[in-house]
Amino acid sequence: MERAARFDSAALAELYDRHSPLALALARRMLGPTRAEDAVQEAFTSIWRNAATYDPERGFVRTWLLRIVRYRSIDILRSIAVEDRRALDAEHERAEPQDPPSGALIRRDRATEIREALAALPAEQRQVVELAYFGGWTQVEIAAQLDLPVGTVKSRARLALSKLRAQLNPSMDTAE
Amino acid sequence: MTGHEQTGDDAAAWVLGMLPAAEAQEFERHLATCSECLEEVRRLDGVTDALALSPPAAPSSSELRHRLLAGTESETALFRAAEGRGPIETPVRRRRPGAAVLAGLAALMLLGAGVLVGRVIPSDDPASRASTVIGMVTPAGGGADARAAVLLRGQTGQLVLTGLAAPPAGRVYQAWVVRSDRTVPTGALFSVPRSGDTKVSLPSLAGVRRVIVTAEGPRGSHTPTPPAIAAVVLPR
Repeated sequence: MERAARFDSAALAELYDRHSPLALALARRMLGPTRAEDAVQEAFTSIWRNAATYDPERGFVRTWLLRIVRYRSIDILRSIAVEDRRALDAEHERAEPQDPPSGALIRRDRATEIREALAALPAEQRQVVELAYFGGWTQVEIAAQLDLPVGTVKSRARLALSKLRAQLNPSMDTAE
Repeated sequence: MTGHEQTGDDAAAWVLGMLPAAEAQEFERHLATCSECLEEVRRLDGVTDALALSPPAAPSSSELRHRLLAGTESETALFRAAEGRGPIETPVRRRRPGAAVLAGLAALMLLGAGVLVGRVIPSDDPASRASTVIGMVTPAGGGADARAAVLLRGQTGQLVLTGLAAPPAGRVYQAWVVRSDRTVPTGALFSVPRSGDTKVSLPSLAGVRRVIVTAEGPRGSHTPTPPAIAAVVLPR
């Protein structure tokens, strides 16, 4: 990152080579394949442009990058038609059936562990988390879509995050 | 439900980014004074960071890598080209603020004609003095004939653009001021008239190192996203 702060293209290339698969995965999950690359390019450009402000004590580069990918993806989502956004949500529901975690004693990678924790949530809680986190919908929009009071949506979100936290502890850090 | 159960729900909604803007700002004000809610946010924040890792990894893209590096190299070249263009001081009478803009446009026109603009002896009265700082525009982004300058008057200024090409379809230009620690939007979203000439009022320029222009989505952005198409490096 210090090299990136000096506008070093090689440093940016290294950063891209290391983190682009995760960045693209998140953007594709949120935006689908055709719009994902725009969000990822914008996120890496933002990191490069603001490298001088990076504070290692405030978190990992990967966390910083993925947050920017998500913010950019939400900006893009909120600029496209509601029907297209709903189609993305529906496409994801069809593409990734949520299997409950197996009890097999296998060493799982971090992504698998998190997917399994998500899958283990009650469906109504998982739905709220996915619509908010990956879909970029506000609580009011989620309440309208699910025909629920806003308070219920928020309660489900809190319960879901608390359960995920308990499930993923003690490996809550996202060490690179 | 108690007040803190309510704000506990707000904490979860906030870390998920699903609070509407006004409620998010209200919650952020509350966070500044409530250690209990701050602790709840910290407890849940790591969960949302973990969610970012859950999608199955996607293959990298060499085309995207190429586009990314080409874009940042273009911006670096733009900034380097804009460096070292010192201000041209231009005396302007206090009662004719429009004259300052005209002076900036005149400087740009002379530059466009290939004429080297020299320093004009400033007025004795600092309040009546203006400086024009010539910047750079990328031919690919803003057009081969485009010119940019910032007209400084004390701590305020105007970005003056001439011959600028229209932004790409579905995009608008957005002007930014770059300070040492952050880049902030000026609030100016603009297209250009057929002439390509336009002016953008800038906020206080105290501590500003550069003024840049990007082509953003139709509603603008909170942070500059594509590489800059114009840059003016201000004197320290």
